[in-house]
Amino acid sequence: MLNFVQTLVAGLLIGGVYALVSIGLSLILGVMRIINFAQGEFMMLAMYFTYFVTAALGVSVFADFVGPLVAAMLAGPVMYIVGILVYRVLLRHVSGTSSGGQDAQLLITLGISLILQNAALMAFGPTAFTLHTSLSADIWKIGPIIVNRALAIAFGVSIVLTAGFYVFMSRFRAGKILRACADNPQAAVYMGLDPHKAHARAFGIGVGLTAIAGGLVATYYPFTPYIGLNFIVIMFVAVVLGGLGSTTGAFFGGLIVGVVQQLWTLVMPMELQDAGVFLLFLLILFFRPQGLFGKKYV
Amino acid sequence: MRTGYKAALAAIGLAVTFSFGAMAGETVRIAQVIPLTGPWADLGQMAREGAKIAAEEINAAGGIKSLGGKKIEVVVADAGGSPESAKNATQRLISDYPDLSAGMGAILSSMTLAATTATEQAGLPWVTQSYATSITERGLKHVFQIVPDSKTIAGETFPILTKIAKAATGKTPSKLAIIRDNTAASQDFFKPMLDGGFEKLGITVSVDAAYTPPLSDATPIALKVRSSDADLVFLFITALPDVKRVLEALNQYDIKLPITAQAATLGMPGVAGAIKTDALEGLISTAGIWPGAKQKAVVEKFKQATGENWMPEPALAGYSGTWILKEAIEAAGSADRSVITKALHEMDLKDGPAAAALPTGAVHFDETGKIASPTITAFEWLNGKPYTIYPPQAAEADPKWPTR
Repeated sequence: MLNFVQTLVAGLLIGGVYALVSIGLSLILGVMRIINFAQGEFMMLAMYFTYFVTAALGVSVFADFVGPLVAAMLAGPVMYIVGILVYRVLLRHVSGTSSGGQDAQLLITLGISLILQNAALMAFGPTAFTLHTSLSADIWKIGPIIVNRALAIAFGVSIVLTAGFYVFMSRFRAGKILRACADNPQAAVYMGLDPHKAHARAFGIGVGLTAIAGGLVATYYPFTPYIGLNFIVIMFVAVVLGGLGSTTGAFFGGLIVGVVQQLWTLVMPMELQDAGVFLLFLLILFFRPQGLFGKKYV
Repeated sequence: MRTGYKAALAAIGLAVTFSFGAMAGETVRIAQVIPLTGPWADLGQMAREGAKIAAEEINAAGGIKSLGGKKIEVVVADAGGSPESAKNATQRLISDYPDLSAGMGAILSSMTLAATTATEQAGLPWVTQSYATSITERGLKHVFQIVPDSKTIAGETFPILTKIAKAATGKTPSKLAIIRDNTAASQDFFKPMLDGGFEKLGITVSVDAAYTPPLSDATPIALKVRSSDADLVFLFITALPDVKRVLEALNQYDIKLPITAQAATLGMPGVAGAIKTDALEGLISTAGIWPGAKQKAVVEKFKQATGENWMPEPALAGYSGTWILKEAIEAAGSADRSVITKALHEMDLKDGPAAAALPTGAVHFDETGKIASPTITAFEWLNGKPYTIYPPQAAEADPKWPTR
């Protein structure tokens, strides 16, 4: 029983990070109708950003988790600007349903992904970078349950940010504009909204959220220019599981992926850990093709 | 960190190959196919540095004397991150450089298995530091394995570990917790042991936690080990992030068992920065070709050239591979592939840099292309650095049984 609870906790903590990573991708998909294959690489850039900012801040000045946490949070706005620039230069002409440019979208985002991977390889080399903090090695004990500090902090930040994002999308005008442009871009234009501006903002926020998640992951996971490949499949599974374009769905999709991935190991060989996730994925697609929180279109 | 400009060009696809050693004029070209991009790029980068040092030494000493002092030129191709990309890179290299005399690579066993199908077809003599037993058991005529194969390493690793344990504690561990990824090298290593090898040694397997990399979280593994009656942990993990997560999880769940391993990854310079040194302290790993006391001179050269604190396994493999090919060409007195293959089959070196570079101290291959009288090596993390502890004649430090 203790092993079950411990594994469940580990799954929830990992799932919280997956959730934040996936919300960014889901927002981009929902508002812009762009399948962003470069999302993992934006996450990777944020990890390097977190590394260098943490080094610049000096972890010894603060409590050892403050430096990495501040750096990870800073990665959000910085990558928001990067996202907007990438949108304006490369994606502007292929976003939205009316562009009919899905082939172009795939090629451009895949191209961005390859360029970012190799640019990072040129700049940082193939050796894994590790944040110099004891966060990942330290634990908190809650009764008999052991909680990894890095994962617990990442989980906490993910929950707060997700809640903040939910409030932004439902209560603030800027969030409502994004939803309007996602739901009916043509009607949004009639109402005097600028879908391109909304798309740029959505891409920036989507990249920024994933970037913060990347910064948090960097506190416990060594990374190389290819780290994005480890997460992109998980992101897509979480997004489709939750319902294409539904950010709430992506959140729960991420949590479910984390929990299933870990609990599966209690009953099946660890080698089949991801098989459990994909089995659930197929079952949900079979019984509920629109995903858990997706809308059913007739 | 020190990615060369040319490697970077290769990485972005502007150039698939580049070369070092002698660049122009009368040269003998040899190939090196190694991952310079993808998850194993740091291993390839180390192998490239090793080959570079060897080529500089060879050319500074007058090149290949039997060919009138022709210089050696190493043409490097990026094997990428998969067996397919390794095979494609090898095929392209062979067609772009029809004058290639021999070659080496491709670090990972799965990549070498793919690349050598192309080299065999081209009749290109090929030396490899990959472990997989199957590399030299396919009846290929031109492939030579300069390190002990997986079967040999697996067969020798556990007696060595139990011997060290017995000497230190008076007891031999008999219940094993295996933590491994399910890569080709890992499967090749454990198959003979799980098929009766452990039984013969009186070892029972309490936990066999095999996973598909990358590892999302090591909690389930640590819980399995904690609930078991194991008295020794043995790791076979290829990727550094996975090593970090496993070692940290074992610490966090207060698992006090000694930790041992068979992993080139654990000897890479990047490990020291990625994992807290107290988690590494006392960790013993066996390796196919780890530099010892005899390789001190080349280790110093490598440290000066790269700024690293020690020479890891792939670097020594690149170094020794280049020297072995040079000696084969020297003995052949020809740059012709078939004559060099014959020279490799007949090679029986007991001195010189090629022999000194290998733990065996000699270079001789059996009829299948495996190195004769293979000697495995082992290192132990002591005070934040890996020290050679086996074989005794190469040892830099006395082995200490890891206590946690």
